[in-house]
Amino acid sequence: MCAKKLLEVNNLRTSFFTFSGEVQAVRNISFSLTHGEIVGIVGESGSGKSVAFLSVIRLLQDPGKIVGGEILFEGEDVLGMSNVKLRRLRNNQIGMVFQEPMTSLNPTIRVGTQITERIRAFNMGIGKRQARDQAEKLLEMVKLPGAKSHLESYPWEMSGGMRQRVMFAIAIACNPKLLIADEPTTALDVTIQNQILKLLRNFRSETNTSIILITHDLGVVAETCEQVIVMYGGMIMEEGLVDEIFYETAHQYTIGLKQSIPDINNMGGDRLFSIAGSPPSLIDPPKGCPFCARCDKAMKVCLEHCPPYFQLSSTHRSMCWLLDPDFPSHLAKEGIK
Amino acid sequence: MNENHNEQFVKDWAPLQKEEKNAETTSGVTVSYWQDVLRRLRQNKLAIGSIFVIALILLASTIGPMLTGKAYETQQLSLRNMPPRIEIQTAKDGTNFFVHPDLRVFLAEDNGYVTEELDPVSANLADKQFIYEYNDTTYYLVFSADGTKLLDENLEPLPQSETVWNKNYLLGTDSIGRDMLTRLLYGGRISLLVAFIVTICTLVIGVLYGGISGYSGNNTDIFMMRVVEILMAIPSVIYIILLMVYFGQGVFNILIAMAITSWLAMAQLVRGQVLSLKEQEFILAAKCTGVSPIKIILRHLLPNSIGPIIVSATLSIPAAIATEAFMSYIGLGVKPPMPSWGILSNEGIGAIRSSPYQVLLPSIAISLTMFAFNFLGDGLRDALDPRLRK
Amino acid sequence: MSQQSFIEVNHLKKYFGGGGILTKKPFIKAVDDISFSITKGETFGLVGESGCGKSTAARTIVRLYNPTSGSVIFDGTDIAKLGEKELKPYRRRIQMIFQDPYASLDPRMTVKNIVAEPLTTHNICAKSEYEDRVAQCLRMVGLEPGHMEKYPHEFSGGQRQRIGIARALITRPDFIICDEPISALDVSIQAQVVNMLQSLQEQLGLTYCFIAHDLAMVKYISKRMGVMYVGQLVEVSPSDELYRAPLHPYTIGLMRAIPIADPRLAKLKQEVSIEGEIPSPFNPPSGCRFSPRCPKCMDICKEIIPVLKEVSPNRFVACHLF
Repeated sequence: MCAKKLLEVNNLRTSFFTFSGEVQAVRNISFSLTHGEIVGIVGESGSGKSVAFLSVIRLLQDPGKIVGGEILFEGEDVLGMSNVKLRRLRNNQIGMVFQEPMTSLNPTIRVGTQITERIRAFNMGIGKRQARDQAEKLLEMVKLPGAKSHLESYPWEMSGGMRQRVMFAIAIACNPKLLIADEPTTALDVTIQNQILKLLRNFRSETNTSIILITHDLGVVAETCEQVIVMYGGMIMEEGLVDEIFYETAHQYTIGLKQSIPDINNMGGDRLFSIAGSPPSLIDPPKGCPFCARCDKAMKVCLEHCPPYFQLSSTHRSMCWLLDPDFPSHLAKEGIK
Repeated sequence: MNENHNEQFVKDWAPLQKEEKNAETTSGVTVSYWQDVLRRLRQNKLAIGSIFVIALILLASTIGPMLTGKAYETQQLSLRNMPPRIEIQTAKDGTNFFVHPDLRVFLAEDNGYVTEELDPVSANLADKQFIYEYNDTTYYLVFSADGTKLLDENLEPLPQSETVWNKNYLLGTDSIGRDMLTRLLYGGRISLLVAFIVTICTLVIGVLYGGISGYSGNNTDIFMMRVVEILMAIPSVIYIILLMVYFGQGVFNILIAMAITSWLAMAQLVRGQVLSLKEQEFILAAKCTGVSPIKIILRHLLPNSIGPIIVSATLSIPAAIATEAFMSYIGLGVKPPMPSWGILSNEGIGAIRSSPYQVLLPSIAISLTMFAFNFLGDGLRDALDPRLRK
Repeated sequence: MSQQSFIEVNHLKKYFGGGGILTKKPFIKAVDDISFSITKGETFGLVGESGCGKSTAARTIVRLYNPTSGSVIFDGTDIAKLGEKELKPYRRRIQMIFQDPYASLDPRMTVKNIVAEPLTTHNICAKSEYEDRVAQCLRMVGLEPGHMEKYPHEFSGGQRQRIGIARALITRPDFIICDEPISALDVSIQAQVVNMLQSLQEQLGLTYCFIAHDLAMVKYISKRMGVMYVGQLVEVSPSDELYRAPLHPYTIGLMRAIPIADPRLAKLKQEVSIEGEIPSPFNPPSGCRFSPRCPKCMDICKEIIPVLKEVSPNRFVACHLF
């Protein structure tokens, strides 16, 4: 019944030790992923979403350090892995696509070489000719028009959308089990974004690769993802299936996010709902709920104690005191929906 | 954090008031740009050490010459070429003698202070010995392949001999009897003065020229930079040599000559900085508001480029010191008898085998100062680099 | 248009390049003949993807760049042709808000000096009054006047954007061009800033030109919108009608490409998307710029550039289909 988990993260904590103090970027997150799932991680800047996934593949730079927790990839402990094993993990099992296509590709090396470099890193024995053929096939897979000629191009000769496709080709070169895409379409235009997202969806259908899609755009999540994790202030606020998150929202932050987006169907002229205030400082994080300072329905208990997760269904959980069974029912008429 | 279900605490469901929320905050520690720079500089031990050394050198150069009690140009020919450390030999009756490398004998007091020269009774080079008479005792100054020796009447070396620090002149004298210490300190004054003033001129001219060129863009910029590039094609030392030949020696002249040629690299640097900042949005915002170009350069562009400018200026000081020393060394710099480290080096070179201290002292001074400014400049560059900001 | 337009842009062109002493460099036609008008108190939205020239258009209207040709009539005067000196009084009345909150404030100046700079430039009031004025503007944008002596790096992105808006407001302008003011901000902050811009418009009677690539946001805030593609305006319409019934094939494709934050609706959306890449302004296609990607392309489209014409009251399209 229980599908074997591809990735399991338990109580991960990551901090940056800076001059100003310890910035607790990720404060205790736990989640899991099975094969073939597309999970969307939604959060704003400072929510810790990018840092969390850099930690998963241990790509953190100084002064960042993983301070606690456990990361299991197909049952194996990632934090304890030797460098050799880690490199194999990154080469063969996990692919990553970053946000800025401008800076993710080496501007002095031709695109074809960058792809074959990746292919040969994971498949040592492969010959140059074969690698090149594979690279061409990859570019065709990502629907780059004129794939063969683009093998000889430099990154700066290509547009943002094309570069992102190349990034994608590099990431999938080794048939990874997991693809992590960190805001892959944020820097792209809407029509190009549409194309890239379609590519991601088709790729998943064809290969059953799991995809983690990190974004701040709820529309992207609604269209592409099956599962959603909402992060804020270094912690997971709400997690669930996409329908549950959008139609049975159980957290004030998620509600706020949804309401902040202008409804293109809305013909009226009322004010946009906006969440007051700014994200919390992570050097001295609040001891209660991270969202407390900006929440309309904050209560004294929210300031003092961080709420636990309350399960609303087998797939849906949320961190909010309003869901506590002890919550007085007469106040509940103000409800969450 | 999430797992303390077991902990029993009272859940207060009362709604939170706005004041308690404290939603709109700014970041905690207020660190201004310069505070951060200072902090990073403080961590660089070499740079801090250099600051101390520079402060010491500046202090010594400014008030030193007045404290030594000697002028830089007074000559005492009898005590010329005296090294900083001298050997005092004491005879049986307590007379102290100092044998000068130039084959002269002096009397000295017990503490090593040399008093007067003793004239030889007979000084015949062919005999390879000079004969001296003092206090009814005869002494022989014998020179042979293994050095000069002062022997008593029994042709034996004097009983006591001690090497002491020169009490008359702390760092010895030069070839015409001038005090090395005073000349060194005064020379420091000249070298540093020239270096600082030239650097200031570099800053003023270079920054204005580069700023205007970078901001104007288009043909003005192209023209101004071509001029700089053409001027840079010839090494600046050649310009300085030609100018000094024309002007003649002198502090003021060398100052002008160096100032005229030193601003070229700074102009290019500033122009580069301005070009990269020009398209930033806060400059566009200023233009949009209607701020005049000169005010944009002075108020916005320059303060934001100040980092590399400071580093370049600091690193140009040792270059200026070296250039001035070189010019003075070849006789086209400061006019003697005014000392500068370059002139001292020039004068010392002739006596390098007999009195090496005469060239060593100014060389050490130049090297130390240059090292100090270089390390400081490096430290400043690291401290001001925004990318190293943690 | 029946109402007197406050700002009228006519056949505005901005070309870059073309210089060169020995060989002629190619022209980059960043803005190639656009015309639209804005009435007083209205918000006009300008949308388009990269390379469409909307930022260049904004900067040309504000005279950060000098137009290659065309006119910009502001309250009766053509400011496109004025010299710097005559332009200065107009700079008081036209302001601009920029995209990058991290680059639009001078990092070495305190907030007070940043916001007060327009006052100094135009000699609006005595120096002693600066602090009060700055405090007033900061309060208007929702910031504490006590933060005046701080530096930009001590504020968050949203707060910095508000400081930029305070700076734009201090001269009591009539017209503000907002060049992607919210793109670099988080979603929850975007809504705050947009709400604030709207309430300021009501309070002070401002006219806005709002430029962005987030169609939903532009549609929300603007009464009328223009869609640009590779330097040209392809459609100008009231926002509601533009969304409900887009006319130009590009606009249709654009509307369909917007991700909908509603999973069920998203599944129902047609899977048709615009293929191909956006042409670069260096080498635009001949004829209609959209012809290589247009599903309804006809022969005439590849040869003749369509002109913007009124096809129904207040709706303008540049397409040979009409």
